[in-house]
Amino acid sequence: MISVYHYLILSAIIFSIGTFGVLTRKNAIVIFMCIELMLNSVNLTFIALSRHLQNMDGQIFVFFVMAVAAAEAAVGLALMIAFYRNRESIDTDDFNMLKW
Amino acid sequence: MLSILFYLFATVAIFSAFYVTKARNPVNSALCLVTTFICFAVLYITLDAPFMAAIQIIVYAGAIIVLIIFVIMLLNLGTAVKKRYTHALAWGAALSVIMLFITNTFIRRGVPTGKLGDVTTQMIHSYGHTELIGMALFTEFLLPFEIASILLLVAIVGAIILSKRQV
Amino acid sequence: MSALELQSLLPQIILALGATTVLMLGAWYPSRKWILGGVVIALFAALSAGLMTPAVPEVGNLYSTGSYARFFVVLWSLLGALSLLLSLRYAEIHDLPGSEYCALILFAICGMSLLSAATSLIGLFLGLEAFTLVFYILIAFKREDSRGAEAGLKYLVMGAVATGFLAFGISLIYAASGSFHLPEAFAGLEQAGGMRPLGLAGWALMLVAIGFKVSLAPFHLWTPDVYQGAPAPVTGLLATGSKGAVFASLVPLFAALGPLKADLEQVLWLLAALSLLAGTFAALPQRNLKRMLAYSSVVHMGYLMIGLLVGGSEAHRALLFYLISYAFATLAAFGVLTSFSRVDDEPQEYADFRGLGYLHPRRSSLLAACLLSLAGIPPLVGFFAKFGIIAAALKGGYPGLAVIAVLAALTSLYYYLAPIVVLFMQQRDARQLRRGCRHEYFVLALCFSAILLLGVYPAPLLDLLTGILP
Repeated sequence: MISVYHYLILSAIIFSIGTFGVLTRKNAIVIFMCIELMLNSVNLTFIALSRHLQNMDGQIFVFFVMAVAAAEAAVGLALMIAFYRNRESIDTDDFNMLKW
Repeated sequence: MLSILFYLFATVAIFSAFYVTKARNPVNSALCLVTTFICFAVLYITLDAPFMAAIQIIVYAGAIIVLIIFVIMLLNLGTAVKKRYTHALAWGAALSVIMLFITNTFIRRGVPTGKLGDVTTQMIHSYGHTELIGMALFTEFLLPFEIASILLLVAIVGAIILSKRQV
Repeated sequence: MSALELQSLLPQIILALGATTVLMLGAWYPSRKWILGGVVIALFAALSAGLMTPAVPEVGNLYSTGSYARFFVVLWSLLGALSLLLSLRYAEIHDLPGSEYCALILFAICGMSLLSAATSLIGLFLGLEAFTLVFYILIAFKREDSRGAEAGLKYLVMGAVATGFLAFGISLIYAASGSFHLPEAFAGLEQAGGMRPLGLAGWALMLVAIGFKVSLAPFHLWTPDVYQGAPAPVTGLLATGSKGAVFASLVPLFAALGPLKADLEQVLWLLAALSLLAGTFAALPQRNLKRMLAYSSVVHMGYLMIGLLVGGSEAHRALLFYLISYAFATLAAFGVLTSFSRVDDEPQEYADFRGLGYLHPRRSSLLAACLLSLAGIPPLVGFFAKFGIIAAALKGGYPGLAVIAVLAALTSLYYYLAPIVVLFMQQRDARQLRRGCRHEYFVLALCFSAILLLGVYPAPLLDLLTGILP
């Protein structure tokens, strides 16, 4: 039988994979996708818990996480375009005008 | 039946999530990301949340991924790169494994038994999931909904300002 | 939502509606004078928060309208108004779009005042995201400067990761209690039962997120880069308002935490000590004023963390006093940097400041006063603030932290004196005058009098803080 633990542990695994990607990848856009992975695993946690606790609040929170993710995606991709225009690259190696 | 479905889609989600971090080409990463999102949508349906599954497909697999692929194409990043990882590969892997281990032990030891609400399976089936979400969103959570709209307005303004050459 | 609730939320509504109006009007009548309009709106919001009595104590189980929350609405609105005034000439010389800039700052103030009023984890999450999202944009606002885009991208990556951690932490706390509202959300965690491990894991993840947002020590690496790349007036608001609002929201959060705090004590101790040490050692070799201020802000966050760790109304009062003194001194320091900036350059390196003390004695001595206040030199307010925190640490039974704090304060003299020496003691080879404008002088004078007056006569502010603390 599948319990809420299965879902929680699945989302913990996906969250860690997302963290791994953020820490190790060089391409800013891939880092961005890994952040979306992390936020998605949070959504899975909320929906599983909301089901388990039998109240709607968790699913409402998912809405706001989605709104924040969409807003961050829009601003982040605009920033990438602005950065690319100046530097012709979005590798984190080229984030070097400021000492990292 | 339900457990077979869960294990199948959980495995696919984990593998495609891993390939997001591993693929050489950003377009492949994006496609793997879509796969993960769709698996999540299926899991939402098994959790009696069909509306969230629909939103997941529309917002994530639809809007956000399209935006990401659009930027990849616009900046012409669709070519494979020689070096994928920063030099911190070992550190990153170690840190995320440690984090997974710690969260895992805490989750296993904890019992999420907070007091139960009144939204049971019968209620979801008789009222409909979308109706319940709408009721909660436009009565109890109206103010956060408005704040989320401010957030999206800010994002629009920001995206225009940052990507326009001359205002 | 009823009319009474709307009336109680009036200051935030004024800010949000005002920002939207400025944005719309700016589309038809583009002008940098809208920044002055923004100052008026922010002052109006501060006035309405200060004078009006709210009809309900809490709006929608999300935001409190108590005196604590309204005090911070006033504070953030004032800080926002001051940084808008500072930006007037800066926006002119760098050709920034005025109405958008003004609207974004107003939205940021709105988010900060929502965050410091939050009584629910949903309110906390949305308030925090509302203003961090604004800062991603403002940091990269100078389009011709590629350092801005780089700093914005770095801040965005860090901020988005922190958002992920925050949301995951909130989800685990929700698992333990089934509620986002603060007293109930922690009530489930208090017994030693099965929910405690989940709650603790949730808190650990939330602390990581908070550490990123206020730049506590292992998570502070973004700070100097973002400070260096962002426009100076934006950095001023980022350093004071955004970090301050997070701390303002943490004080009621930790007050509601109850017995669970004992489990987090060692982590908090470690965060505070690491911030004090890492910030101090990183600030010592800096030759760039903005980077030095960034690392020194890590040290200041360590002091604030001590106040949070000790707990109790005495320590929380010391924390808030420290926060206010830090805010005015830091804003004034970035104000001087703004007023020294010209079309082509913005002085940051110590070499740029050589001899400026002779060309611009008033602004240079003001910068020196701010740095001395941050270092904690007696007649200025920074001394009382540091004294309060260290006394609270001793009284609360944390002698180890008190010793580290005193050592950090003594060492800080070195890196705060270094730019002052450059300003005054070296030969005068500053190439040309750096003209400011009267708006900037007004803000600087105001901040300076706050630093001086609060240092000489801190009693009224302390009484006020005692009154508003829950």
